[in-house]
Amino acid sequence: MSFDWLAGASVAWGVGITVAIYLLLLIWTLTRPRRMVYRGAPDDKRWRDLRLWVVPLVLVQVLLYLLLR
Amino acid sequence: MVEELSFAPFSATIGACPGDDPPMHGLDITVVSLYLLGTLVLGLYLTRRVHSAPDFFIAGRRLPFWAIGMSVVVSDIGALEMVGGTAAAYRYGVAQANYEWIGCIPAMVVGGLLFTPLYWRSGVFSIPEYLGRRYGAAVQGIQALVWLVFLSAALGVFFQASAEMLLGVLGWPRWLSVGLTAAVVAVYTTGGGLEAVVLTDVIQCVILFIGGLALAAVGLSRVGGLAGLRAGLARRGPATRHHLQLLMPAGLRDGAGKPTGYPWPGIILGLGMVLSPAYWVGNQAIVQRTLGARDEWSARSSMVFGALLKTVVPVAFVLPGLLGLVLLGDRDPNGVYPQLIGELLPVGMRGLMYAAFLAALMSSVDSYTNSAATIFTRDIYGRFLARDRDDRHYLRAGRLASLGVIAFGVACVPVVARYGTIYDAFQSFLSLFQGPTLALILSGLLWRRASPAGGLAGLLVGLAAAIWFKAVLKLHYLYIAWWSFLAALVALLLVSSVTRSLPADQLRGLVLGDDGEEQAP
Repeated sequence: MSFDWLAGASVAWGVGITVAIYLLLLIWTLTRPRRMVYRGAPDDKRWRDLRLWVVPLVLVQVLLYLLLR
Repeated sequence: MVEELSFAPFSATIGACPGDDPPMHGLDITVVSLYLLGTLVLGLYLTRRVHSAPDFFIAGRRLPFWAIGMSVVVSDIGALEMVGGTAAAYRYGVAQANYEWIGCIPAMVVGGLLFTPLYWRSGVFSIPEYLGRRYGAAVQGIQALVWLVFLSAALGVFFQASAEMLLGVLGWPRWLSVGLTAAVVAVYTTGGGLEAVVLTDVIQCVILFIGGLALAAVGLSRVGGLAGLRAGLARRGPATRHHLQLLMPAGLRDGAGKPTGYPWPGIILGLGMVLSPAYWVGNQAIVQRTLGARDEWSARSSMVFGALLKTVVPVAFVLPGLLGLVLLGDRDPNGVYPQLIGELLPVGMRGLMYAAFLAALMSSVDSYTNSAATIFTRDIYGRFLARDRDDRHYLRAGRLASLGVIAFGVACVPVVARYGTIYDAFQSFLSLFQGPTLALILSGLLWRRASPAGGLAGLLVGLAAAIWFKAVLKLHYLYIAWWSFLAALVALLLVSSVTRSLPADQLRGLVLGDDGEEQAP
């Protein structure tokens, strides 16, 4: 139950899974409907589109996990 | 974020830094005094805006997104984490940053976009209140008691641990640290409620980031930039071969033969999949701020904004651990951060860092105080002891509860000082609930068929499993979180499938899909 059977698994697997999690997060975010992202906003200015906030956030994370491995 | 920190007597090691300057220069004292005065004045000013229980508990729903985002991030950085996080980076390397990155960011984005707006629309004041509406009074009562005990007792631990640390860093006697912090926090938390907590957190966040980033920048310049840091670590030989690796091998052990706390399966499954979502979606101290957002978009964006800030946190509080390894060589890890401050920063900037220590302490204390008072007033007092009283009654009860919680925390200090391991006991106690609680929250939010009986069964089975994993199998807490989450989920699914769920009218606003936004699977 401590995942000792993974002790021999390469860290590259961990990096791959982490990057995959972030990319799935990005895809999931980008596919959110516009009305959901803006719901409750006082106006529909472009900077309020939260999908655009997540793009740099995820890309920086992916870059970090790929560089620091 | 949810890592387990050792509770060593910091003053014993920090105070022994050789060659330290006198702890406080006149300019440093001025900076610290200005910080405390500014916090107090802002808190007192905000007291005038509290006229009702919603004003007190959820800031009258007038908080901007950026303030909430900064508040949730700074509340997550305690004074212990500043020193303990740097110490962990000194020992194990950049892997400590996982607790800020994979251990925060995905859960904050999903929580912010999906779950936070639902909480906001439902109009609840607390997580136990949501669980109570979804699964009934028994689940609400158990959750409220668990959180109340943990939050109140943790205050005593914050006071004591920080007093130890400030004794070492600033030379302040314990009574001064505890008394000053408790008095200032009591004034603005009791008077201004959540709005005062969040807006003082904004000041504290600015101070923490300026101080932490300045220290990292000066240190990085001293070692010769990133190339110099890499070369400096390489010179230390095989002991630092994993120090620039975010994910570590699964079976890696420390010098004492214990797991390091960073095996990559545990980081991904335990931290990333369970503990982090449980913290960002189910922790009262975090969620309560988003309930005070001025509109639904602000509630949603506050968490995403917080996630953006989280990207930078390791630069301020993990990188210094690596810099300390290169600049200071072998020493007690808990003394690294204070000694870097002493050696790298000029007078005045040191004062800012000392203010940052106080800011980190106060941001945690005010959050826990406000959350504990909310849970006591809404989920115990208002639910079981004094139902259907008027609004002013609950406002008064909330203020008295805040004072009571702080007094309880201060009263706990001698006990905590005498029995240092009590913090570990409380931390372990809470960690047993994290997995089952997440199972209840996710099922409640996503699955209409999750029934009250299923919720109670999931909580009890998950808890029993967690105790068994800890006491008998002695699993690492990251794996306890994962397996107890699964156990609770299975029990909840099985019992819910044979028991009656809530009628549709009672589910309205509590399940994703009932607002016509996202359909539950």
